[in-house]
Amino acid sequence: MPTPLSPAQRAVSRRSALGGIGLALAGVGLAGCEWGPEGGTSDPEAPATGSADPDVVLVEAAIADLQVASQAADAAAGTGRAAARRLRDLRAGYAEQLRILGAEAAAAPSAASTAAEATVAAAWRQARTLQGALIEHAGTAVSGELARTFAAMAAGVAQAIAADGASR
Amino acid sequence: MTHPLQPVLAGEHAAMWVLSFVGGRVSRSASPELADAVTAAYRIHRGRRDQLTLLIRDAGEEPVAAEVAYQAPSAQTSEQIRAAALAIEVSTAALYGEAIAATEGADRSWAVRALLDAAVRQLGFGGVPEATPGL
Repeated sequence: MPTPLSPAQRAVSRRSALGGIGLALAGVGLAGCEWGPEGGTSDPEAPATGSADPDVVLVEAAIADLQVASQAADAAAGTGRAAARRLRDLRAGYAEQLRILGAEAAAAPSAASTAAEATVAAAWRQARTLQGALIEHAGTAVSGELARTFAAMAAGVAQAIAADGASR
Repeated sequence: MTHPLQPVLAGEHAAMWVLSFVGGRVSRSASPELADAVTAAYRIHRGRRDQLTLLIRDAGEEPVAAEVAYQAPSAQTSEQIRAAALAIEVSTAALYGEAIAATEGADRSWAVRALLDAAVRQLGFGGVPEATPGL
């Protein structure tokens, strides 16, 4: 790598990665999703195993984790606190990550009866839990591209957590 | 080059060269935080280079060597220096991401840790949080 990638090269790489994952999900559905052997370490000759595919289990687990974290961020972002902008950014990141996995954010429960401080703390605690889970998924995914996706998501959460810490 | 971490090592060589170049142009008196951040980033990439060299050598391959020189970025102002350092962190994050896709086990775990570190370091050079850095 003699020089850093140009913005255009990064954009193409990003689009390719996202497009490949999106097509894989759209083409075969979540229950039978294939994360593609390209650049990965999975055996391309291996037969599809349907819902027993360990990567499908990981994707489903990641979506569930993201839904929980997204709901926590959504509830905290509605508390009107100064930290709400960071939480809205965090939630926007979750929404993009869920879209990559072919899912959508669920509606957040009302935070009216919850202390705002506790709600905000819970949202960031949930973010740290999600980050750990995504790192673990990245380590165990059979597909290399799926592992990369999980790791990138974990890195995005890490950035959000760090940005929040820097703003205090 | 067959070991999947060889491209990352090549990237670390380039990162060290560029960070050393811009580090020599940042004013420690005028921009102490930027100077510290560039120095810290240089040391981290040097550590990554050393780790990769060992990993690749342990796998029975000869680690890729550094180029004699690399394309120098514009580094006349603090903004340019910050942008050059950010570009390095973004490009190495992409390399870590590619390494994650091409490895498994301990090598993948190494790349995952490196990606998270690089993503957070981007913030110190003016980067903003993204949903999926390194993808």
